[in-house]
Amino acid sequence: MVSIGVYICHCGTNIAGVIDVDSLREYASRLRDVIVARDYAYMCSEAGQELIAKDIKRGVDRVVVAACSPAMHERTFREVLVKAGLNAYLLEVVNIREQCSWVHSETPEKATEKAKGLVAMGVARARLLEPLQPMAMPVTKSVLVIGGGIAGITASLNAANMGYEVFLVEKEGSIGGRMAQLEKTFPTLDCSPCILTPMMAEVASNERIRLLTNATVKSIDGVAGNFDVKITIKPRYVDVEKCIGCGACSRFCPVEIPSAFEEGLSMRKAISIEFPQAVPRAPVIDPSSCLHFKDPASCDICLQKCPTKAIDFSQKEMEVNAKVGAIIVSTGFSLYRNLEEYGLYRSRNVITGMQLERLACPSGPTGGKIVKPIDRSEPKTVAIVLCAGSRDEKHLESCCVIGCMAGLKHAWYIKSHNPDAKLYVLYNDLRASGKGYEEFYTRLREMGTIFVRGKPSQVEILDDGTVELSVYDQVLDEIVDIRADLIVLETGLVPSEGSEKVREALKIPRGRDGFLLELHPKLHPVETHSEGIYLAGAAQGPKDIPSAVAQALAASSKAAEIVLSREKIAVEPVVAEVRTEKCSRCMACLQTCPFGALKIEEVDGEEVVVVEEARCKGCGACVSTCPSSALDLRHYRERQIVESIRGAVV
Amino acid sequence: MLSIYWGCYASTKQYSLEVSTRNVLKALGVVAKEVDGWSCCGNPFKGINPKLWLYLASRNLSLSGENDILTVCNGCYLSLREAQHLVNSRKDAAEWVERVLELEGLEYRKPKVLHPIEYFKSVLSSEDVVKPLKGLRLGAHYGCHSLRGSLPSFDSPTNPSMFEDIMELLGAEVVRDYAGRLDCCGATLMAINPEVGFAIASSKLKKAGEAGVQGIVTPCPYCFEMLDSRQETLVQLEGAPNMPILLLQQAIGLAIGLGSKDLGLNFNMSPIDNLLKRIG
Amino acid sequence: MLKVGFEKPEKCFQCGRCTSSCTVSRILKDYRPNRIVGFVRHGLVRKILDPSIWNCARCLKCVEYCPQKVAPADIVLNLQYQAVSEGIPFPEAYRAMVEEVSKTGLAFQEMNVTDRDFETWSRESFGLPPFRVGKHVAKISEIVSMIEKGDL
Repeated sequence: MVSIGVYICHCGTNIAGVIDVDSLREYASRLRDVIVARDYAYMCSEAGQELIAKDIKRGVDRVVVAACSPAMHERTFREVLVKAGLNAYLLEVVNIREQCSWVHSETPEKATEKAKGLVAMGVARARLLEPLQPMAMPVTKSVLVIGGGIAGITASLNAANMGYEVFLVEKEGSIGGRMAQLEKTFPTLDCSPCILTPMMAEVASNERIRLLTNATVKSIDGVAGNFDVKITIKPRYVDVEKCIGCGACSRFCPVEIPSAFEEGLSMRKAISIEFPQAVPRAPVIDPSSCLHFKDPASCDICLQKCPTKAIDFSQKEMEVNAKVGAIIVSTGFSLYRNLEEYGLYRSRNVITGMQLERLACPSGPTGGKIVKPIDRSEPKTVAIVLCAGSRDEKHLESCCVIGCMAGLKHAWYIKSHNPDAKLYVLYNDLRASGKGYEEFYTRLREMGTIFVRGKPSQVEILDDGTVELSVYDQVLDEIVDIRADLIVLETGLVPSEGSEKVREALKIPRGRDGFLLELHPKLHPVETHSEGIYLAGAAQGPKDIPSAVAQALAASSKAAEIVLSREKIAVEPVVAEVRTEKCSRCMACLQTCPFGALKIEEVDGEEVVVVEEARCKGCGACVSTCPSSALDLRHYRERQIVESIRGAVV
Repeated sequence: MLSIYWGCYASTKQYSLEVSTRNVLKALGVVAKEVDGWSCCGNPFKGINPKLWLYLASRNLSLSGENDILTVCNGCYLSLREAQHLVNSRKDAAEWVERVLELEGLEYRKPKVLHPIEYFKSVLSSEDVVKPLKGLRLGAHYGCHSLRGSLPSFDSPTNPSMFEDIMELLGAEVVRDYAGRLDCCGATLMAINPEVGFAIASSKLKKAGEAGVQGIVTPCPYCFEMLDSRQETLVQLEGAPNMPILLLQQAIGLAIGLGSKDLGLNFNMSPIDNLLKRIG
Repeated sequence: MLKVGFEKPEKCFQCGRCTSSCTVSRILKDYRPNRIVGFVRHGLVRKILDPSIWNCARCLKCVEYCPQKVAPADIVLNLQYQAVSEGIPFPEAYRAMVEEVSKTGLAFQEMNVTDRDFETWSRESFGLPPFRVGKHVAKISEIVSMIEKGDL
């Protein structure tokens, strides 16, 4: 015999505006085993919670809350039960908002009938709920940070300084990410590598940070507090301990390949350090272009010239296993380059903003001279095109967030490097909303930059590589054909190439814009739907450096709060259970489980199937696979599901 | 099987389009179905009476039966496809079309509508070419309705290359990404505002000339008429350069060895003699 | 109001790409697609049902370049339809084509064409088979008049 209390939330007018809550409450109160049924404007508020708590003290021992999705407030209501002395798992949340009032707002009568059915189902299940205890698992006090750009670096340092061990995995040969490619940062015009490299050096010297470069995450198993990570480290064929970074190997290497760091504007050698401030400061050999790997006898000049004998062609791929308590994903962004309509790839004088950064950088392909790629001469007319490929249904729907500011910064580069050039900035809307950003925009206007409000359409390539852009100036009411010999496109941003594999391994969903999805866009920007996995930086969506840094600090703090600072972490007891007497040892369940949570053990000389509760995510796949009904899922038992279906029908 | 939708221009005045298409297909061994009852595709009526357009376009789609339709005019290509899209995406349009076609005893069908550029790209091979189109640097004029519009087309609307690939296959020296390549020819405006139409067409020829183009090939009869038959007017009135203009099927025909009469070259008003001499 | 094509004036954020790519706008300075869309968005349709709406060359560059799939060219067609529905005079050429199509099923009359050698040819004399609208013409005429009258 149970005593069920049903609590119906109005959710303001979200529910009550469609569903007849009085009629619903009446209906609920007449269901078997329901001793009290109430309705209230906001069940999740303190007053609403009080109603439940008081009833529990008066004898309610099963609680049904009919309100919004459990994803919103299941946790809140569970805490109410616990505070009032009832087991947290004696709660059933019925969704009459997202699954009823919000989708049936045009048919209120039918919505009310449906809500009654849903509540009946909830009550039926509530009758069969059992008290469960969350399992307490010991926590591994280390964190995995995937991606070594500014966000990953910040998160790693923060976590290390809080006292936790860090595994920082970076897929390139050096950390630094996109910020290492920039010449300056807006709006302060700080030298980007100058503010970044001290942090990179700190990472290298911090004893708690284990830096794994040329490395990618292969697989991740487990739950918050106890993740098992397999990391693959590609060989760089150089012994980092022995290398002194003298660069002799690169000087003598005969093979040239396009440099990704220089955005294709110049070549690098098959063995080279990608950029001067690289951490670790040691080169990487690209085995697909190195002659030695095609035929070992053909070339080993780097080996010959290296003063410390650091070259090691025999290095093999390594796998590192790490146990961590939390994971931070900071895999960053890549540029969107599908921009032939703006002339990209049709003329070499049409470049991306990142390519301009490399031209402006003193250690870049032109020694800091901003010149036309086609003949390396000074441009006479420069056009900076903002919003190329963004806010465009044929390319990227969303705003790239940093294009306007990057465009202003690039205008500043041109004004200071090529003061005699005529400069146009062509914009759609100019967004300068961060700290100091509007003032930077004012500064650029004061410097005499011509801002034209209009997005250019046609781009024609003329014989000498000059490009003619057509833009409609709404103020002058003129169609202006600008002949520019250097066009800079502020391109859209997309999630980085490496992020897809990480996303799949971690099972993080993508948002509509393709970036990794946070738990809640307003209130939980750095958490994901999986406990213990956090997001930081552009991996979660395009953003500027201060925002990336803030997210990195938030993510590492969150990881510390929820996981790392605790001795034990509560794991949901929603796990599978084996009834050994029914098990036929067919092993079908082992093959079905996506998390490797089922295994065979020897108990008393017999082979039995055992659930590794820490790994079990309660998905139920094994339960439905088992032909003998030997498996069941705690808190979602077959009986509970069957009875709740009956509750709807009867 | 393929059926050819001739459209109004080929049927009533652009005889070189029909004759060159028929002879090129014959030479390539393609047997096409002759369909009875073709009418105008409805394109000119899209603005003034959209239902008239929808009726005319849909009836042509249903007459094709299950055969793929090869159009020979850009306007028809777009008109038929947009009608298909409208019927597929809106229930009220589909119901209206069904009702109207029933009056004629027709049933709505969904054939594939092909553009000559994509069609010939798929059937031509270098073995067919016996007289490479050498001698002048040629430029492609795709025309507006082959690539642009709200529906995806057979090539990129902002940076296409299929037409140039065909011309290179035919042995021509091609000026690829020339300024003004994707510009309009102004033909639609001839009946409404001829002055503007002439300005547009001559700008096209001028820009092509400036980019080193010495001859233009186009698949669309409207564009062809504008740039070829009216070329003299453009030269006199607007100072546009003279240059030979060929229809796509005429260019293909020359390259595969067909003669002047087979291709209706007697109807070309632009100075084609030089080009013909160089091809041999 | 019949929505004919892909027109979506509400999405326009006035980036100006339609106007800078417009073939006609370069020549006729008071024909600006972005302004036409702007007026439609404001509901000021009456202000633009003037002769300029017939100046669209249907080059579709505005449709191609628009980042919000507004399809200005389809909006212009819609305005043309509205003008015709309200009895505003429209270009003679279209009237002639409607008449022709209801008579013969084609938009133009079959012509005799003079070639560069000053010889004149008809379809038949040039060796082309007669075009095959044939027996369908009667039905087409009937349906076309019904549509023109507004019975369908």
